[in-house]
Amino acid sequence: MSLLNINELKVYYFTKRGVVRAVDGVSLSISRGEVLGLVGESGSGKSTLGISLLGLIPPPGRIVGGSIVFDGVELTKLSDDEFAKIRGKRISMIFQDPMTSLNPLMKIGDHLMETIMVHENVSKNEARERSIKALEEVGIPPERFNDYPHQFSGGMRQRVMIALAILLNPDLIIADEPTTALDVIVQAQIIDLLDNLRKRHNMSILLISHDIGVVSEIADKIAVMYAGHLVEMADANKILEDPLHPYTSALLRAVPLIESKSEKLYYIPGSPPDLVKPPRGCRFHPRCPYAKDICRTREPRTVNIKDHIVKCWMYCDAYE
Amino acid sequence: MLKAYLIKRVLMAIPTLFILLTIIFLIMRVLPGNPVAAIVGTKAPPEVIQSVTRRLGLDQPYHIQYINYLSNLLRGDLGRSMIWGRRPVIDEIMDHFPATLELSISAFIVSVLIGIITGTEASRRFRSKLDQVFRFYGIVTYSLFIPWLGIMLQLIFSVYLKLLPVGGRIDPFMEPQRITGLYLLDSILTLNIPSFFNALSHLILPSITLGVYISGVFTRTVRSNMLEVLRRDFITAARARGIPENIVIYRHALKNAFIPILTMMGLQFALLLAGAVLTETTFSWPGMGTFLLERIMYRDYTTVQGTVVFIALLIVSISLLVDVMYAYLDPRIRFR
Amino acid sequence: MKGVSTSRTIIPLLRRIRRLDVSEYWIAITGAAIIIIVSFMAILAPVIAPYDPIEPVGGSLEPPNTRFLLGTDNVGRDILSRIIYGSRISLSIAFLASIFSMIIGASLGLLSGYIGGVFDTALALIMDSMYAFPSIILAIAIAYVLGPGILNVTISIGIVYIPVYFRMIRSEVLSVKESLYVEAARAIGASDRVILLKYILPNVTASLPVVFSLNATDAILTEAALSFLGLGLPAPTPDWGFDLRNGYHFITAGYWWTVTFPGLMIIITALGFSLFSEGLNEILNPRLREV
Repeated sequence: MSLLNINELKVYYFTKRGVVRAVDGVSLSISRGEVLGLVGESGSGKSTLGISLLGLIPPPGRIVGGSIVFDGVELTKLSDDEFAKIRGKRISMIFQDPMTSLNPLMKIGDHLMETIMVHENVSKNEARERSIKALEEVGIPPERFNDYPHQFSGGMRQRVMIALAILLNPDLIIADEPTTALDVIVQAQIIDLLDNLRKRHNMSILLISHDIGVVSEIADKIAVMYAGHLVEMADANKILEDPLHPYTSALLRAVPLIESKSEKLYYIPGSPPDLVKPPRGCRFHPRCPYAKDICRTREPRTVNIKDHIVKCWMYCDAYE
Repeated sequence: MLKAYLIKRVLMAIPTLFILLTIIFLIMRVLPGNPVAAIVGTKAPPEVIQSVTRRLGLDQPYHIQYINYLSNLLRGDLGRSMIWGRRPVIDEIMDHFPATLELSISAFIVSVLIGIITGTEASRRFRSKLDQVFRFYGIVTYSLFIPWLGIMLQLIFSVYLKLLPVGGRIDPFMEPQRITGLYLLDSILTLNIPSFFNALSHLILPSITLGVYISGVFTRTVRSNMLEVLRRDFITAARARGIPENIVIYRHALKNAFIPILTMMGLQFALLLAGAVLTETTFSWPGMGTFLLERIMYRDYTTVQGTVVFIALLIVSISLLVDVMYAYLDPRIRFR
Repeated sequence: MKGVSTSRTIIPLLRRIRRLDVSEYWIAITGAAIIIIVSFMAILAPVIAPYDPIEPVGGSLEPPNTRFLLGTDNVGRDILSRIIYGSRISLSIAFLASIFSMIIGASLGLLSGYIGGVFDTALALIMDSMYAFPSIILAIAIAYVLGPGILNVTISIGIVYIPVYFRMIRSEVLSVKESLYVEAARAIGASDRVILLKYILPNVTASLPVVFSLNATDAILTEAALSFLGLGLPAPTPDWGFDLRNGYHFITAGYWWTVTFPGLMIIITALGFSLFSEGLNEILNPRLREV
């Protein structure tokens, strides 16, 4: 029984320069308690996807097609007021830059209490107690309840964001590049924390990152996005051991491992396409070492090979 | 550290004040025009001219005059009036200052309210029709001629609708007991309710006139500050927690946009005073503006000089005060 | 007036003008239209004014009628004619005062910014202090000392706005002074005067029209204010501010036309200049754009 079901979602930005097809027909699902890692370069559309789940796509963008069903509710049809009831309470979000995601003029305790009191009719004292408990769960001592954001380090601020995200026991947390702005050691701590919390509260996580290494730590499934398309999705270990899509293999090869010798860093030649005028056919073909004629002219079909989804012509002929 | 900032700021204010005082001195003494003749007329006998000249200290060489001027000011001595009871200028100013203060504060409140609401709503609807209207509003208020606006309001509300008084600060015999000189405050403090409402009815039109004039700047500033703040991550983060949009705008965003607006307010004080002069004249409001003009008409040289000096002092102190407030309100500076 | 910056060369400017759409230049066009209409009114005054503005031609305080479209004042003068002739006074004082301010303020700013040192610091401090002081009060003080009359009013207003130009030009000069082409000019031995006039001056004057226009707005309002307060021109010169003051005495009896029309003219003319300035600023220095 999937908690979240995204079907052929299309999100476009209507700018003066042209129409940016940021998310162009993406389908995926997340079950209860599952961690889905969403990987891709910047510009792949992964962040837009994340933010569509909360109905917070900034203008000039909007959803132009597809559906998002969350626990039986069609999110694309909700009004802003109805959505506000879900945000923070059933779906919450952790943002990339902890430095700027908190209101500099508000004490962090107030951030938490406000969130509780907006959604539930409780007394200030109860809100305060629950807030302090949430802070303790993420490893922040209660003495810091009345401090301001600038008095915290980056890692601690991200913990505050996590506390805010789990505060009301949501079913789904969207974590958009939660570790990118942090140093490596803190990164590991944050990912660990997320893992522990979701196990304790049985939450699902949509973990968005450009770093497949970070994602692989806790993801159950991994989905790979490129230029607005979902190019591959499967169980985490299958993707890591046996990637099907050329882009995924390239991504994995590009992760520098400590053990590897001093060779040159592998990088994927070329650059991500302009989403106003994406390449014809498969959007990855200009950078793909296996590109064939059909890749240059027709967009590949998405196929499902025993729960391993891939969008590439290499697998269409053999199985369809 | 807040203290260091305070000290630095006060030190910076001193040269500005000094220069203003010097400019005033130069204008009053050095520019062409004979103040003595203006006081006693050109046909007065020489002894009268001489005595007046000596009394004003105008027979001394300029640099001695300058030193006397500054040393008097340091002692808080603004001189004595040339006319009527020859009262100390400072006393006369204090008779009229509360009226200007009360008008300024009310106008300020009006303008901030207008500015916040129009600026915020304009920022929410970036580039829409309403946004253009509010931008136009900002330009129009800048081009407004205060006496005309005041007179139009008087025509409508006082002459035709007969709802509000046409001028003055309060009806005769209705003044409350003087504690601060601010009628609204004094009438509350002495529980004089009829006085309160009488004073209020006189305050409405002038406050609106002056308030509207100043508000244009606020609309513009609030709008641009809000636009900048609304782009920031913590606003999206707040929405993502389900905080209702109105609270996001009016509590989270506005609080952050507001602090630069405070400094704006300090800078606008000069504009406020300038507008106050015209507003007071239009509404026969017995404040420092009408006082200054009256004394100009009477050629009361020392009082005119003293009043202008007082205004300079006021402006420098207010801008200092606003800077300090700004530093205090921004926790990042306070705790640094 | 603060926050106006230059766009440095003409070519991107022209490119930008070609790409504009109506919503962006209607403000400037409206402002320019108003300025042009009022200017024509001033120039063609003897031709279009129905009566002599100074002589009484009708009954006292006649309401607007077919003979006197805007009514008459207490002396019996035609208000419409007075308004038309009044434009001459207002516009000429506004222009002259603004030009006066601009020439003195900009030259001082240019010199001060270029020379630098103690002279610059001192002058800048003086100008900043003047700038912080309410312009009307300063104008009143100067007018008081100088006395009434067109020339004195022009000078009063002119002096008050010198700091505006000074500050603007000076800050531009300071930023241009250190740029490469000035270094190059100095390297090839160009004299100070040449550098100032041929290299620096053209590049700092780009935003002058915007400030000049804004300044004209202030000048119109200040001139009207001085007249309204009785410190401006002597009667019976047709002047909008003066008429407003004159008619003010009669409003309690309901004679609204004596104040409404002169006041409207003041505002409309001031609006013309401020719209033009604002519109021009939008064109030259576009603000925050959407993504």
